[in-house]
Amino acid sequence: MIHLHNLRRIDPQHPTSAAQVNGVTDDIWLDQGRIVAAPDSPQNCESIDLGGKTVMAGAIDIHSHIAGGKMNLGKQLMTADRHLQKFGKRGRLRSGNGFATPVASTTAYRYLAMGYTMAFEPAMVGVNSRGCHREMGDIPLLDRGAYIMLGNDDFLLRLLQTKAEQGRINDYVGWMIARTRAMGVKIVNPGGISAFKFNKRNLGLDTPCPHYDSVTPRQIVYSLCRAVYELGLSFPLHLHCNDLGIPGNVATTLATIKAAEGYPLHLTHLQFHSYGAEGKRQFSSAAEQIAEAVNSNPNVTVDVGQIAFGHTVTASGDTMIQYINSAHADPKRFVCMDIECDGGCGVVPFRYRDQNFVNALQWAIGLELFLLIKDPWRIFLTTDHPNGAPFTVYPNLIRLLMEPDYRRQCLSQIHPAAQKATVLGSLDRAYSLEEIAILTRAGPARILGLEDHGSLKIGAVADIVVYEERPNLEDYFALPQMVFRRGLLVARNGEIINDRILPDGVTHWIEPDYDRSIEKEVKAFFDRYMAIDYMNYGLNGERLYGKPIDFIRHSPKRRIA
Amino acid sequence: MITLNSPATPPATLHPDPISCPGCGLACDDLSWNDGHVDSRGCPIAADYFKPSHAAPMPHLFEGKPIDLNSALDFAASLIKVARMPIFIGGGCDIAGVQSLLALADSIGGVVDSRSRILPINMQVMQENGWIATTFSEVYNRADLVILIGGNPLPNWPRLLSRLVANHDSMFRTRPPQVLQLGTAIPPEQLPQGLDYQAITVEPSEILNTLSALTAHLKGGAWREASPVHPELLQLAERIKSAHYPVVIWDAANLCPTATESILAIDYLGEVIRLLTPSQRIVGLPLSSSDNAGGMASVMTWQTGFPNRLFYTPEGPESHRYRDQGLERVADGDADLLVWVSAITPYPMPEFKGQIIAIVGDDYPESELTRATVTLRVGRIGIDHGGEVGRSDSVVMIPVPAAFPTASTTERPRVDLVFNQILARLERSQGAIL
Repeated sequence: MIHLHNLRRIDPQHPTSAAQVNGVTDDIWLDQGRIVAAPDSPQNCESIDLGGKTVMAGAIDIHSHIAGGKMNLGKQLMTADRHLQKFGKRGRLRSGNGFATPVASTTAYRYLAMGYTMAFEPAMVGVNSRGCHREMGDIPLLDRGAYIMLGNDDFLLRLLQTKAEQGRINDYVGWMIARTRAMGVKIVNPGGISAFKFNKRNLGLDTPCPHYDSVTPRQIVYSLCRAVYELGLSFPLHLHCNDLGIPGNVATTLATIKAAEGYPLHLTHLQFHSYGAEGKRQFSSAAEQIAEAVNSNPNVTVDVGQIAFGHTVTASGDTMIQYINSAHADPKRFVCMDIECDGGCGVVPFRYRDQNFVNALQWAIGLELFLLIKDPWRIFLTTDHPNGAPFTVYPNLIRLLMEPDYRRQCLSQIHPAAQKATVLGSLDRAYSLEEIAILTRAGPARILGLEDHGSLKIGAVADIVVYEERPNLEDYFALPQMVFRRGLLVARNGEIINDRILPDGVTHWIEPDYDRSIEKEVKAFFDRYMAIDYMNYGLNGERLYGKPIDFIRHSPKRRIA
Repeated sequence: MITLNSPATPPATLHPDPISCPGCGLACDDLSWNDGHVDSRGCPIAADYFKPSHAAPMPHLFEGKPIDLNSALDFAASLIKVARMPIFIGGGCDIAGVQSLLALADSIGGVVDSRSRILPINMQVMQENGWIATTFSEVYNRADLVILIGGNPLPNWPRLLSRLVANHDSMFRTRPPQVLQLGTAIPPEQLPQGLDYQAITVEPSEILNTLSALTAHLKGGAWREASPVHPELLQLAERIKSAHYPVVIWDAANLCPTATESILAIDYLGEVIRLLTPSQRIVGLPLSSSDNAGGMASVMTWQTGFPNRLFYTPEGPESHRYRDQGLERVADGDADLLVWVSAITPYPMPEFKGQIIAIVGDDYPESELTRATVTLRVGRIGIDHGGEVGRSDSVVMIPVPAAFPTASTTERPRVDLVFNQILARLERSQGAIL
């Protein structure tokens, strides 16, 4: 048992916990991986006086490309990245490397050093799910999960084309989630990845899909929003809209919000979808319009996908857009793949430059969204790692949100025309520590339905971060004094503990209730069209071999029978 | 000496269905049981892989003498402990085996490489220029033109055409695609019946020049003038332009006389695809991995960032394209210990002056093992135990159930158990953390 005392608790999920009501805010007891009530007579207890330091729950990244085939391609393409942040094996810790494309060990150690104890891969291709889970299983210490990519898979498009009932779509979505052991459902460019395979280079929200002429992206968005809701998933449909990165895509984004028809909808990396086409450069910020729409549609949540200046790699399932982006590859190399009638991927190295007008304005647009969207429970802190920037820039991003003066100072250094094209300089909002805790742990835990995470309540998993005063807020969030995962100290001042065996990470997934008769239809499709057998697709429980993966299964309750 | 039991044929109801074959990078997973045997669907590699074997498990060996598993592991650990420069050559095992191999190698240092000299050829081109590629089910459903480059791919990839190309039922095409080969013609008797196949005969030594000319033609202008194109190539270029989803397939093992020429040839193929993609779809399908070298490359990439040829140094994993080639280091005498993993296809061991630990399946020839100090006879994936392998199209990992499940913890153990046990012994012997 560990007793942390003399601390300042920041726990937005439970601001009126019993301890606070009683004015006793300075004690947390950890035992067997959980936060527990104060024992009557503590025995074998290690007591740690925190001297008034701030304590929060472990942070959770809801959208970070930490695994999967496209990230392996990214690692292979980013050859120079292999020389960055290289370290050898130390004690129990594996060796590693990588800045924009960290390998499995580096991913875990960098996240934990910053106080993140959980991260979710947001674009798992079904046919790659076995490999994705294997890779996530090799990420030590960090809890994780993945969202299954749908909306360009031919089985779904055939269901929609033949006007299948919503219930049948729900059953298929339920089967896919369960078979691939996913934690949520993602669409990348609804219909667009499939359209690119037919040589279409853009696809509007109401444009019929090639080959599937009765299907539009709007229908795909609506039917999957409904499926996710009716299956009872906590996390709404996770949507990467059509027209990512295209000037003027604000119209598509606003129309997509309407396409959900009030069903819960999560718009991911919203920064890339908040562009106007005004001005002589025909690229402008539409953050105010987008923020207003988010503020007035309570069914909508968002993560930002903030960019940071520097070198990274963009890796996405969106082959249509990534092929366009390949013209800007730096260095000049890219990979695009069509994948198994299931999806696709595009991997393009990229450098964001502060003296490039477009990049500079992208940076400002992301911050505008953070500052203009009012409800911190409906916005999440992401860089779409590594697409906007590696997740290691989070501490700097938090400082930008909390310190208006620092923000203005940074604004004054970007491309002059971009400074004039943004309202950022006029925004005085400063995020509080409490709001940062909402953005980075309480909010993510709540939207993911992880009741045992993201808070310091009694009974919660003891993922705990102790922050120490540092010269500036960036260091404060980059180097927490202590990070506990499941009640054990795993990092201290940015260094991972390496002299003892630490518990491995677990993979979260959900198993919705669905009508199993859909499996016969799916099997017939596989038998007829697929070069992989139905039995071998995803993670069929009858065919799990090799290194065990510690899974935690969640069972949502259907909202519609 | 341990008692060895003959593997009993399990009851029919226990036979997995379907069966997956790890024999080549196609990893066909549509094989089935037929009258007590695995129906290989006409594939000689699968037929050989699953050929009936009722021999008793072969013993583990130390200096040629049978020993029990624990002793063999002890000897293996002691050799690894004192090695100055161990070198691990795989894949030859499933994904779990690769994971454990890397954990051990990371702990003690040394070089890790696959046997494949083909995968690095494709990988070098991809890492330097990228590519636009596709996967098997896309070929099956979309390809309306297949262009084979180089020699006859069927000896290495027996069901490439019969399984992925010659199908009549697909989502987006009404008949099998035309197949055009630029290279050495496939003998007619090897072709699937009724396939629309034509060859433009090009000698291996002329493949590079031919692709150079095709690229120049597609670039137009001065390029075209500099490199006149054979009329048949002009027709090929026009045929490609009229197709909806042409797929260019190459086997880097069967392309040009030398690896360097093959790299340049693949470079040209990537450029052809990139030149045409602004106006049409065209994709590549590189064939590059058997022996689970592709699966090994995936695990190595996500664990170290290097898909092949890495050196675990105290400062972290490093890789040099030429310096860290495992087989070359073996030949040069750089290494003093060779850990040879070959439990899928029994590849012969290279000449080596140092000590050898052989981790091999029961089908591995005894005559080869006289040079090994320690031999660990492990289970073979898909025969003795289940596992996973990477398919050649790189994004698909195929589960491989055990057709004759006979693996145990002492006889025919899994490769991952062997490496885990060796690592545990090293940790215990040091009394400290590795």
